[in-house]
Amino acid sequence: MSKLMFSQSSLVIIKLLWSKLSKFLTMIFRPFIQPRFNKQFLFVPNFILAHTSTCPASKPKCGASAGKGGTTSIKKIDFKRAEKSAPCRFGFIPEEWFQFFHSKTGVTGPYIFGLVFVNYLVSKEIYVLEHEYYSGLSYVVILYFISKKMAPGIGASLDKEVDAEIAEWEKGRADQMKVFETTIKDAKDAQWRAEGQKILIEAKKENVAMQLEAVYRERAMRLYQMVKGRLDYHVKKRRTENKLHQKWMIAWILENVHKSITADFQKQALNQAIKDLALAASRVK
Amino acid sequence: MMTNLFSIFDPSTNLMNLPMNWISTILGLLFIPYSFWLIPNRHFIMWNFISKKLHNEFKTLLKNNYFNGSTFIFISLFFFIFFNNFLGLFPYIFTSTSHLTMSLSLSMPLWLSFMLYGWIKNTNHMFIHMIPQGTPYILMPFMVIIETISNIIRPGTLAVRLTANMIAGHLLMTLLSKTGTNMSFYMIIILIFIQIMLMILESAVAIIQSYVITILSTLYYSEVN
Repeated sequence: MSKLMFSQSSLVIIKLLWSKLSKFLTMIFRPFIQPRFNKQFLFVPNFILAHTSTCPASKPKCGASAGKGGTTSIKKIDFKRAEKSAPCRFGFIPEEWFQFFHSKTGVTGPYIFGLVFVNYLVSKEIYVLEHEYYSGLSYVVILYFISKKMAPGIGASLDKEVDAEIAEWEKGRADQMKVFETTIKDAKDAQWRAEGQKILIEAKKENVAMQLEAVYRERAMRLYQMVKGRLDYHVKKRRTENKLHQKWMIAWILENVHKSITADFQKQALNQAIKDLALAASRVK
Repeated sequence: MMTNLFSIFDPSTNLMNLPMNWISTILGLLFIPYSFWLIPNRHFIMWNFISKKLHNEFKTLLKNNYFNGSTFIFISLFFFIFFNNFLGLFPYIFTSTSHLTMSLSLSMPLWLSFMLYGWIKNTNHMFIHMIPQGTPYILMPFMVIIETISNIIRPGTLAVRLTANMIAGHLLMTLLSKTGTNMSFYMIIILIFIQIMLMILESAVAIIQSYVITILSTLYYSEVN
């Protein structure tokens, strides 16, 4: 029992000591272990730079310079890889060496220097003209002839292959552009067609309006005819009543009056009329 | 210093007693093209052209034994030996393939691995291959002996063929060049002309030897399965 307790307590003590020791060690060795981000390091891929620029652990605290803070765009690498090699003379001597001599010795300086240097090496037997030299000489002649005679042909045929590859890529790009242009054209056509639909709908609206008006007029005509019919009825009814009056009342009255007029009455009436007329005539004068 | 003619093959570039001229072995690595851009350059296209031709050749040879990537080892072997041979022709560059250590170190592991695989995995097949088709019955024992011997000396032949060709070529060149040290000017022109011929031959030999060793290795590989 006591052994167990002893082992447990010792374990606790060991753990404590180990944590302290590890903290101490990391404190000392942190500058050696931590990877340094060196901006001059070549061939660093874009995405690593992007990560460190947006990584929250490496963001500057407030108060520090925040020149590009807040942007999440990928940073561009400053340098560019050169497409062609640097200019050189004779294929292996860089141009910069000739510029180096130019201010003091002019154009022929480097050549004279080369000649004199070779002369020194050969005459002092620092460079011994032994079997390697003669085989090298023959090799230089071979290489010269190959570079003059066969190299342009080989270069041209290889360039053709390169151009074929470029053409393939360009063709893919051009085909894709054509596809896009066709898509754009089709989309524009569809838009134009959609505008035509508006005109169609206007025409349809007019059509419907005309139909409605026709129906309206038809109904108005029907209404007029119905009203006229009713009025006609009343007129006919009045006329019929008048006819009946005429036939049964007025005609009877007149017939009886005619019957009652004797010849004597007629004579009296006429004589009276003549007297009245003569009176009227004498008044007029 | 040349004590004898063959001392041109001695490793003599020393740095703290370590022979440094074996570094010329990996000089060929510098000639492998980079592919930084999408569009290939001439160098890359030439490299690809040769690799594809070799790949097709080896694939045809391997027939049914071809798996994806079987040709890689042979193509790399070809380029390795070719660069070592070819660059050794230049002055002051050490020809590492002219040493039996180099050639044997290449051919022996290849052959041994083929043989071990063949004899352990396909024993019957290897026995069958000992005797070509159509041999009369009487000749069969002798055929077996002959085939066994030819099989056993294969790593030796592969290595020694390469080494001997390289040594012979370099020896000839050195012999011719040595006479140039004590010659009049006009004789040197003839000498250079002869040396040019020899150089062209040696370049062809360099390419052919590397091709031969690779083709034979491919054949030995295809025989096993």
